[in-house]
Amino acid sequence: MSVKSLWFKAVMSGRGIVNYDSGDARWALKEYIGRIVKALGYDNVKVAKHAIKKTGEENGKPVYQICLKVSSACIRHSIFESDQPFHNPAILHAPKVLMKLISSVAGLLRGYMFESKGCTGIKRKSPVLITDAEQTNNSVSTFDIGTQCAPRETKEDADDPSGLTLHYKECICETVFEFEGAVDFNLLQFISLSQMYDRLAVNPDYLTEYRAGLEKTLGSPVSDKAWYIFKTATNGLPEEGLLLSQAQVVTLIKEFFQRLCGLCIIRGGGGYARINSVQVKHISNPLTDFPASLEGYYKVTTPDDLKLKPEDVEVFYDEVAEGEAVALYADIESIKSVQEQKAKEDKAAKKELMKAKKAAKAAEATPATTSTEE
Amino acid sequence: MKAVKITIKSAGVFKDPRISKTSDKMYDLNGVTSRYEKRSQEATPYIKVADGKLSVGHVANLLRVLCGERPVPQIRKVLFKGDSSFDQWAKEVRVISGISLEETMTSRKSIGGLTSSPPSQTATHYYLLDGEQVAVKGGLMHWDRFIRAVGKEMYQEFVKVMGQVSGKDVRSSFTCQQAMEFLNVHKEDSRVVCLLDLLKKPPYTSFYNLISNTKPESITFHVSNDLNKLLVCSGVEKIKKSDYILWVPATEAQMEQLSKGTGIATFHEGGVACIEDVEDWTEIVEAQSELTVEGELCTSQS
Repeated sequence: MSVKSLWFKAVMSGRGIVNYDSGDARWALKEYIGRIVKALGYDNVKVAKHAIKKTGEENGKPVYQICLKVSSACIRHSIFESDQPFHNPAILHAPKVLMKLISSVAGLLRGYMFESKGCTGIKRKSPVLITDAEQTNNSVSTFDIGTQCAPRETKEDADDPSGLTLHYKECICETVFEFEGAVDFNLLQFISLSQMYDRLAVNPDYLTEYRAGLEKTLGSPVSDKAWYIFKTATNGLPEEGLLLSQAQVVTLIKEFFQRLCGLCIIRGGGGYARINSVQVKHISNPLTDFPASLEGYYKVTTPDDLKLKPEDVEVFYDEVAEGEAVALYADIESIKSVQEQKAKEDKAAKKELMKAKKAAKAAEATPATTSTEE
Repeated sequence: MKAVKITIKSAGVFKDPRISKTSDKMYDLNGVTSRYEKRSQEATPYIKVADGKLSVGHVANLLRVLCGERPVPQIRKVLFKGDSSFDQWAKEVRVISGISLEETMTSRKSIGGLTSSPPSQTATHYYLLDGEQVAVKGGLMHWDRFIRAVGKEMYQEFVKVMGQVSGKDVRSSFTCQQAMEFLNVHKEDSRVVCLLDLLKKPPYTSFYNLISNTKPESITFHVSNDLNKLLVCSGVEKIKKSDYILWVPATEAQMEQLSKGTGIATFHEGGVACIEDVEDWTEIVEAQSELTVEGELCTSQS
């Protein structure tokens, strides 16, 4: 049976905190932590991200379990950090660089959205889904006091905060985190060149440059653009795009697991978390292959451990003849132009109505002024 | 009737976009690119749902994806319409919500124009001019950027004059910024005066203003071009993250539809949804859960 998606479970271990929250998070922590922490009453406290679970009730009051967490955004950033160390939206104005970026492994797996007034907006939804990582060991965090080597700021106004160099910081020794995620083959294998389904991933005018970049990334020729229909959609309309081959999908999945298995989140302040183990499960039938059931998982330490073969990958798209697709689109365009014409007429009518209302208001106001004068 | 259990983990919802004045971008066929237009102070409409509840529209889209259909944006303009039977199905879904917790996310924005508001968000660089630290808007001016800005001929003239006045090899002895500051010190020198006469004309006026320290606030050479945009941290935005369990009543036909999909979907900001179990529908499910609600469409100005 063909595989529709991959589900993975990962365990990370490390020391110290790798993902901090803002100062405001101390209020939530104060409410749920269940012990008195004086440092949480101060402004100059650095608090880690936490997950809170209700574990039961005691004397009619809810009991909460609180643990550290690493947000999915932090994990995603770390996975692709070596591919995309920084990001600048000005890249929209440099098409050649943009095409290189969006055809890279990180562009295809992490997804992107580039939008700016005056430019053709493009976006690709990430086929990789990742949850937050939650702490599973019993280490308890403490709040340490620290000092900072900096010149003491002088107050210019009585209300100014004083330049204190003392601060509190949440600290922890050993940590173990667990997180889950999935790779959606449907999103991974298709690159849209159409606005029809709200996901134009590449401006078709730069297709030559994009395909060159894609072939370099995947190491094999990419098929030419064609019209495809999403097999399972009942309201499916043909969509122009590039369909990656099953072997290319497997290549990209291996690239992802290479990054995931080597994941190490390092925080400048001293904390780190490194991947310990990754387990993978193939989802062929979503109604029988549940991620929660332990059956079917196998360990992956290198990309070569993946048991996914190209022929196992489900193909979600069927090719449609160009003539058929173009005729359908012509119909849609004509309907769209009718709608636009109607919208224009409605706008004009609304304008007229506003004008008439204004005139009526002015007419009402004039006799009142006259009577005052009288 | 079967009950399909769907779990949603860490689904985030941003706070009221009008309050946070988000710089979040959006993709709309009407050409709307930002969720909050600063000039008109208008936010794009959004769906407001009470804490711990899920809207019919969001759940309908989740079911569409799990059944292998396309999700349909509820607010943004798109070219296609979804199958409305999913909305009806979503109304029957029972929701059990977990604890939701407010978190923060760092949001970033690009800066580049003098029109950036507030002006402090424009990058500033300090030059030592006439014995004072003068703030100039923009990033670092280095030799390569200087050549790109003034062209090769003017650059050669600049280096020639600079070499004559300083008596040193310019490129190895001065950074571009140091050269500007050096010429400012020697602005009374006749050779520098001649150079300043050349720089007075557009498009070099900014450099004249910098060296002669006149109208330093008008110096815009770093920031006027889109390519010189810088990405900075614009602050933190609050996001509420929640976990949910959904019990979806499903007939045989609907089970068949669900088996066609991939079994996984995204939900809200960063949330992961997956089919976790299939059981027989019981009344216990109904007793412990709540129905989905119709979200309120907010369109008013901030």
